[in-house]
Amino acid sequence: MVSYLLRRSLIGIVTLTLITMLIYTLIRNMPGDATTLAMSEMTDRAIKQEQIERMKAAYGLNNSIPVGYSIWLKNLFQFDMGSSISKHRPVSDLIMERIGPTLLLSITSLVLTFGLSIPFGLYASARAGKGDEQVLSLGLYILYSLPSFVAALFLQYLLAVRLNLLPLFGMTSDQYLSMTPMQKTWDLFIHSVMPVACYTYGSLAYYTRFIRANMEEVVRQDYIRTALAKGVPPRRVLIHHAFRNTMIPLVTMIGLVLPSLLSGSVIIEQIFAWPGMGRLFFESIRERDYPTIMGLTLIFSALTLLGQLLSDILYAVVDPRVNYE
Amino acid sequence: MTSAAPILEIDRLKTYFRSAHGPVKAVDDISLSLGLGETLGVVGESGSGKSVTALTILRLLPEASAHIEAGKIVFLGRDLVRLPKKEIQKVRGRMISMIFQEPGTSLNPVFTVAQQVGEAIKLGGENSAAKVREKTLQLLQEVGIRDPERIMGSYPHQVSGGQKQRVMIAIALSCDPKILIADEPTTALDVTVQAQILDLLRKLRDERQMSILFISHDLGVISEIADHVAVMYRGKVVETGSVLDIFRNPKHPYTKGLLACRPRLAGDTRRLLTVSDFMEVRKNGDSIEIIEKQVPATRLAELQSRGRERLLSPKGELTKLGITLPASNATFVPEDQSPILRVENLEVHFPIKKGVFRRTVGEVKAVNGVSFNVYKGQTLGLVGESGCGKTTTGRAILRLVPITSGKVEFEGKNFLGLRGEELRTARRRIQVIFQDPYSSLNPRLTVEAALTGPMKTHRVGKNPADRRDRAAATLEECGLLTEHLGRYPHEFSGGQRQRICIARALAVEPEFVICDESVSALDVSVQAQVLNLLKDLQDDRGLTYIFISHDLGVVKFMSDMMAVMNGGKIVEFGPSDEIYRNPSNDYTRNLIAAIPDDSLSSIERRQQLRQLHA
Repeated sequence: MVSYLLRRSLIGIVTLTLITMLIYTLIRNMPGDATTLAMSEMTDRAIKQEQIERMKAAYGLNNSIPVGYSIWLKNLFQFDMGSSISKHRPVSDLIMERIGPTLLLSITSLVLTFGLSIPFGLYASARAGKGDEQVLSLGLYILYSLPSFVAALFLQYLLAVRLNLLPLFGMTSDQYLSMTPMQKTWDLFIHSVMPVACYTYGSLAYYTRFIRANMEEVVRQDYIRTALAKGVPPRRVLIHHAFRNTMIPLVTMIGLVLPSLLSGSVIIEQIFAWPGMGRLFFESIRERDYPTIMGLTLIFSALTLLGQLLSDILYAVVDPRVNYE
Repeated sequence: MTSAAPILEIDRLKTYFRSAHGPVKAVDDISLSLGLGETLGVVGESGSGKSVTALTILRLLPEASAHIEAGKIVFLGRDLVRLPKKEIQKVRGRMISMIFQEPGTSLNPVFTVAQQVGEAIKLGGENSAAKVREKTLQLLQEVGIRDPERIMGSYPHQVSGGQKQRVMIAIALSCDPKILIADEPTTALDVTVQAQILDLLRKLRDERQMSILFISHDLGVISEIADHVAVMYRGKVVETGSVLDIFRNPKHPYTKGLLACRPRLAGDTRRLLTVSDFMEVRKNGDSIEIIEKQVPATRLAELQSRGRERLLSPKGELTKLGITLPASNATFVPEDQSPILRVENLEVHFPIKKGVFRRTVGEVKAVNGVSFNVYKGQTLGLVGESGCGKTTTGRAILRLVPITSGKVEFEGKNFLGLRGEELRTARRRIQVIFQDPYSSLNPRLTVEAALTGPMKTHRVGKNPADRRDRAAATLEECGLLTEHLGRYPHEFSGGQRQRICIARALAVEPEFVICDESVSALDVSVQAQVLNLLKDLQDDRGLTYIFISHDLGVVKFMSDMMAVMNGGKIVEFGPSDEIYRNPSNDYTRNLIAAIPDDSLSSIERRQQLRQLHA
């Protein structure tokens, strides 16, 4: 196991280097750069040109791509992700600021997704073919195919505009700073209801269907027949014998969720004006903010690789047949 | 028919399956009776309804597709068919328990042996963890597991197939059931392991006075264990009787056919009788009618005379190998003829890789120094148990697995050195027929495409029309029809599919065919037809075969020369009749001794022993 992890980590580091190299090359080759947007309002051509040159020098945009990349890499080894060009602050500060709001959405959503999809999935497989199961499955199928931005706009119109039950967007109210801790919690809660709902229902439907499909596969196995022939009650067969085996594919998927915990959702954060990582990513691309893009890419890629590694480890934990010796 | 008082009586049972084309009558009005302490063998081919009968008793069939149309199953005065779900659940495992065909898939892969046996014990009402453990240990010892402590902590994938079946038996015994239903319990096991499991079941039956419903497609196995036998055919019981009656004096034509079509070790015919020699099946609307046929004496004579005698390797080579020349009627390959295939010191090793940089730290020697010669027109049989290297040897000859070292010469040319066009030509001349006709045909190709594809690759036939004609002719040669060309594999039965696989191999006009367990997945009655076909094709086309199988009876029937393999090596080589008559190696002797013995004298002896026990 140890040598397996070591081998995988080495491969991971090589992969990570290649990804960041590729991303750096790509963004440097995009039309326009950070100066284009910043200087677009200037009309005096001569001053503008001079300003642009000064800015390029300050942000290292005059360097060739290999030189620029190696400077970025060298700074990274000193735990310095650089400064944002458009926001004039260290990238690490920006990211730290945005992680909280994103985690609030993604972790709540993750807990809800698995907390609900497992019982739903088990219920659906136990009642397969019956009326209530078909209603549940149809409902989940509709949710699965409904785009989240449509649902978000509909919810905003219904719950905020028409019924005035929830705030339309944002993470906090204007008076947030003067509130008591109780009030603050409640304020965060009512602001996050709609984004969390929009963030969750798709994956909830997906995982329920995933569990249901895998259960159907598992209950056809010979060992389920063995368990029934032993006289094990049907409910225990379903949960103890069948679901334990469905955990194997499920757990490998959980590892792959890891990067999405931090990456947030560009669309939902944009619609609800949620100050999270997705929005930061979106803004930094629009502003050609290379250091921020690189910083975010690095984090997402590292998490993706870590998530895969985590999947493999969990796989060996839930399936005794797998070992990495 | 039963001497003992019946403990289980099946009365006019009908189990139907729903399908798009109306009900499928899997079990169609059968009545059976199992006596206290008695073993009833139920024999039949796939689809005869024997397993469905067993699953119906414990109501283990999926409710969505199967239902019990009519009938009663009376067990200790209660009708299991009409028992509420909660009640039948209490019968399962506690009064009637069951073991299955595939020990490999019948145990839950994510729980240890101790957990799975323990669960059954707990269901019987034992709650103290220490007592459950103690009883688990005791059960595992009873079923003959030598190191029960280690096995208890193991997961199913860590123990061998035979041990898994022993664990299954331990689970089945955990609540001291009155009846054990064994559904093909030895079919997936090697023959020596099968003999051990049969021994164990006989021992348990005698010690525990347990009744056994023993289901098998193999009459040989049935003869080893059953007191009474019921023969099933297409959902009906066609004959019942004591085991001696059935073997001594079968009445129904199907039983006669089943008994006659198996290649026996002691047999010496050149062709096999098939079930269709004994009966004809006519469709009468919804039902079928079986018409008995007399086997004419000319047919029996034909079995002896059709085809050639055994073709043994040149006398000089046999003497050099230290084999005494058999006196019996056999021809020998002339001394000056060179072999069509020469295999010398063939080794196939699979590397075991470990560590951060996946260095090779060891190897599995799947084939470890195998040498033999095959002469034109001969059949060489490779026989051995799973893992002995027989299949890898076949694949290595075809270059389907990389060869570690050794020589393979085809017609004097180094087959391993061939490249490009030469390799392609050689590949055409050596074809293979695999074991499973279900997975070795591409389901999305019509029969025509499956046959003409290889022809096109190997440039056989002038144009598409010519290839189509050739494909049709080959199909007919293999006992199928021209109109089958446009159909897909799923429209055929297992036997027909294997005929398609044979036709596909022959379509490119090979001289050498490797049959890798080619009849192992087929029912015995179909197996006989396919074996006859392979022999006829060999005679007509002058083919050379390597015939690989785990079944010594089949290999002996097919082969001129035989190689017994164990642990990647040939442990005994010689004329197949001689090896059977006079095995010189201990491993071969064990293999022969483990084969179920259905001679009347052995059945009589076993039945006398059984009387003594009772």
